Amino acid sequence: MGLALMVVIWLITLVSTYFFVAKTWWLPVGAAEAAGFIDGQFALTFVLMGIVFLAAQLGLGYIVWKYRERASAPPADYSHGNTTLELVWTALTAILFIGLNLMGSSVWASQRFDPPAADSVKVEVTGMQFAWYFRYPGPDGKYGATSVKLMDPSAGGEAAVGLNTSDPAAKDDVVTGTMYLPVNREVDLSLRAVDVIHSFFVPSLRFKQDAVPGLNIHMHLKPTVIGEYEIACAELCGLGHYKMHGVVHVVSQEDFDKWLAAREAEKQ
Amino acid sequence: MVAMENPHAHAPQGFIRKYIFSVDHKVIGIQYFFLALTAVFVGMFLSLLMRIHLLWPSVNLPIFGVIQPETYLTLLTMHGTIMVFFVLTTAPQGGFGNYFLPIQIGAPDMAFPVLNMLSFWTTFVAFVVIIAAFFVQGGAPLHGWTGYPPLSAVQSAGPGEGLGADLWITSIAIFCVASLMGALNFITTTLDLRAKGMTMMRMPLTVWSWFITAILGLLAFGVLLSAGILLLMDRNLGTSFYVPLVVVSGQVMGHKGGSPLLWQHLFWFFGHPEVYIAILPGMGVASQVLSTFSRKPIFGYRAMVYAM
Repeated sequence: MGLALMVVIWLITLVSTYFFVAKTWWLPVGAAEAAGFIDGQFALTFVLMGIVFLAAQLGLGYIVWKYRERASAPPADYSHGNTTLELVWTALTAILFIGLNLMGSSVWASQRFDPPAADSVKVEVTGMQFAWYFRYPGPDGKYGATSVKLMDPSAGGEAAVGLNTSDPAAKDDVVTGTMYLPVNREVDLSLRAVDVIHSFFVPSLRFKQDAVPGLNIHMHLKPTVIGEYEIACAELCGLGHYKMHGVVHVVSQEDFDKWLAAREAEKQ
Repeated sequence: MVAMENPHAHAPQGFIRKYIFSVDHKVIGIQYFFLALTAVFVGMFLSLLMRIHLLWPSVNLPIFGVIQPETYLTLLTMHGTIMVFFVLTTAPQGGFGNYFLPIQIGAPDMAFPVLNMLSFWTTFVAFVVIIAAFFVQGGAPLHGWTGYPPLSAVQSAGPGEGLGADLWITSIAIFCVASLMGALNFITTTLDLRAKGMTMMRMPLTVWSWFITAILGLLAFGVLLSAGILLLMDRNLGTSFYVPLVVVSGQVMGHKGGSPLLWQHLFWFFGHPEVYIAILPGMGVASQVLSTFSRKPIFGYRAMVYAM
């Protein structure tokens, strides 16, 4: 019985470890500057926790077998604990936990609290039931005024984000339903929401941040690989939450300029 | 003997006083346990419907028909809420705790037997109210078990966000009241009704876990209760605790200046301790069972107590 239990515990442990080692389900390719660090942190966490997991589970199986009930078992050894041992493993766990957090916090904070690079592209992302809209400030580099009272999600485009067209700065603002970003340039994102909380999630860019009504949240990121990536809403936002998709096209600077110019031309 | 001079000993009574509105901690423990068992079957049934939908998205089920996106979210919301509140919070603490805590510390019963009965029946009312959400117009809410506003605060934000959502919040508020009564009872019983010689550091770890869970519950459920009342006011009285100026379904709502994050802060002031409320009794039981069946004292008892 002890042997059977050990085999079961070991099997479950090794099979579940296999899925992580063989990377049977893994992250999509990282296409942003922060991806290298985030993926490294992710891998490091898994390796460290994997070692602890394996040691604990394999040890558990072994002990279950070694101390099984036997007629010839040696007399039990009573122990109320071992303070040194407990202090050591508590301290180690604390160091591991706090250390991993501190390591991750710098990248987390840099995307939020450091100012974006001077040459960054400004894009405003607006979430609403159940679509994403993207606003580019145009050649003047300034977003035009918006007003909640002007928002009309059913009209789409500029009306959906509540653009005040009488504002001179709004004249060259471009609002689109697809996101285009130039490669290797920092993006200064502003996140807003019209109705309920949404979450702007681009797995390939390793980016996820809630868009909250009443707040304008600033973050920045830098796409590094040209391609098309899926945008999903990651905060339950109502009955159409499942289809609140979008696409971000990461293109060369040249293609980006061409695309933006075409949008500006359309607007005139 | 002891039972004769025991003020909590109850003479045999009629069926209703003995099994329905009982003040006996064991009966109440069993009642809690069966309530949790009923809730777990309801919750499992909802997750079964979700699984069926994932496997065969367009299958036409008897009674339920084809599961629509909003129905799926309703299932998800109600599954989460029922499991977290009426199973994970109810069974380990209300069920096992009520039954075993007085026995393990040598107390004749809980400190406040009538309050104990009230806390069970209040929990029962909360369960009836949440189940009622399925049967009102618009059905049960779809805002997830965390109920983030504005989705949960604006009636037009989705199907089920009308009366169904009101019932959902009301049920949670009632559940909070019941849990607060239970927590008071657990804390008082542990502190005041231990048998002679049963010092705090001699208590079984299970008792420690129920005791700490009760303290956590006392801190957490009060906050959730007030958060829920504020949400009800936002929904029905036109206040703006959680809702800023928003446009929902093309309509400018009458709210102004509220913060959706306020709910998240208040909710997770409950939500974070809630995971311990759910797991601590289980850990206490695991320690106790292991120690008993390996016929050894608990390894590092003091460290375990301080860790809790």
